[in-house]
Amino acid sequence: MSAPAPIEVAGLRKVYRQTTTGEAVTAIQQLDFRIEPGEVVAIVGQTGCGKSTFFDILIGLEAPTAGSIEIGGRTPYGDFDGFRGRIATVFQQDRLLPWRSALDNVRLGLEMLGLPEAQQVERSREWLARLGLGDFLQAYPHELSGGMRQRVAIARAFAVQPGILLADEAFGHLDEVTASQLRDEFVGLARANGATAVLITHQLEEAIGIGNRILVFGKPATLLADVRLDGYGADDTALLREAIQATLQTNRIDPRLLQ
Amino acid sequence: MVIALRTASLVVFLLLWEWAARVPISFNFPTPWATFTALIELVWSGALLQASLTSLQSLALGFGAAVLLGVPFGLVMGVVRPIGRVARIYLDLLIALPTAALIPLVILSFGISILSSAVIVFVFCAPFVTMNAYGGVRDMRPRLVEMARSFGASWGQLFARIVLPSALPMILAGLRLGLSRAFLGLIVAELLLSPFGLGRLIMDSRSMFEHDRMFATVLWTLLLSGAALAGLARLEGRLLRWRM
Repeated sequence: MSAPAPIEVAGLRKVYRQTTTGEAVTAIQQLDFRIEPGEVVAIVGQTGCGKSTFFDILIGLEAPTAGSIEIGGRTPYGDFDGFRGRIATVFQQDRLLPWRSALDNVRLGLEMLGLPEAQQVERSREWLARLGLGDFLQAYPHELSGGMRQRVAIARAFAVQPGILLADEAFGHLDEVTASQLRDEFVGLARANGATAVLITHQLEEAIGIGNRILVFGKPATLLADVRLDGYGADDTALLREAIQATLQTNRIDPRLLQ
Repeated sequence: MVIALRTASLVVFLLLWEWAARVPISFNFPTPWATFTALIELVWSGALLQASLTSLQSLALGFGAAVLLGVPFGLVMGVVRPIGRVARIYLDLLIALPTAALIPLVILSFGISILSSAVIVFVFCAPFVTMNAYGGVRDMRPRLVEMARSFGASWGQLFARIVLPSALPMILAGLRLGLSRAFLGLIVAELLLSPFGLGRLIMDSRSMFEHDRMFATVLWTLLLSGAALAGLARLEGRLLRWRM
């Protein structure tokens, strides 16, 4: 794994101009926080609160309107060479290439890294096997179930051995059992590899099940609450929910924002 | 089952043809049998092969140029949007234009030669080949590009690994459409202008009232283009195996 670096978000703001009407839309109002290396963080907020925009800026696909995101002191926007192999994302839909087999889909990120072919194949095999797809190396995406496709996408992200792993509502479209299973595997693998993991979800319950820290986004994105879960057990869900509601109330924020 | 149906349709077609020749629509409408014997004669004498070689030269030149220029240009149109937006107006016009109307112009510029029929073949098929390559890039899913960029793909990698493979089905469909248009252009050119190849054979037979020979040549042209299209379809099946 490439060494995880801290993620520093300072005064981040993003305003879009709508292409059809020319109207300005604020996706991110103001964000300031820091994620330490190795943390597992859940970001929770309503649909359309700018969580995905935040990820786009984090990955370097979008430039912020104001403020900055820095990862280990570097700005991701446009710096594809500097960040190649350091961040990997599992997207909302699997985004597999339909013309490539499972194995070749996992290889994609490794091709970008310029690894020798034998090594690409070996590492891709290994990750697919670890995610239980050892028998489906040559299967095309349309031959796999939704859950299996998302496993391939997870293998693709982990295979580049990034220091930071992102999941953008990656499990929301799957059935409950498969979703929680994959989420646990994702978080478990990230922890085992010492990587920083940031997961986006729109459900508080899911967020509580995930990591050591929950960031609650308002709409448009501002930081409503920053809750550290260390010390709580797995059965303290109700307690945590109350704690988060309380945090929101002391900040005079309507808890219904999280519905 | 499919084979039985196809055979049945062929039999029905031949029966209809035979009937049409007997109920004289016109006294010079040849029966299937007369056409087949004429075809065998033409093949045997070498006249048909000679003509085919000449025609296929124009076809290969025109269609080959359309593929080599049209596909890359269509891809550029798709990737560099401003170029696409301007060039597609001209391509739309070329597609809407009754292409045969350009033939006198082509003769004026290129004279009566194999080259001029190749140019006409090119004009017939290039717009379609180009438009499909362009459409293939435009229909690409932007989410896949985003995904590849998130893994740090360079522009070259994006093109080779995402843009080209996702445009490939449309490009290949364009080649098939283009090839059938190329045959159309070839015969039109040879009928209307250059005394070469299969078109000439058709015209000669017609002027000699050898309607069985004329029909045989038409049938042969049909077989040729059918074989070429089937070849392309096979290539398509092989390259797009992932869709099965």
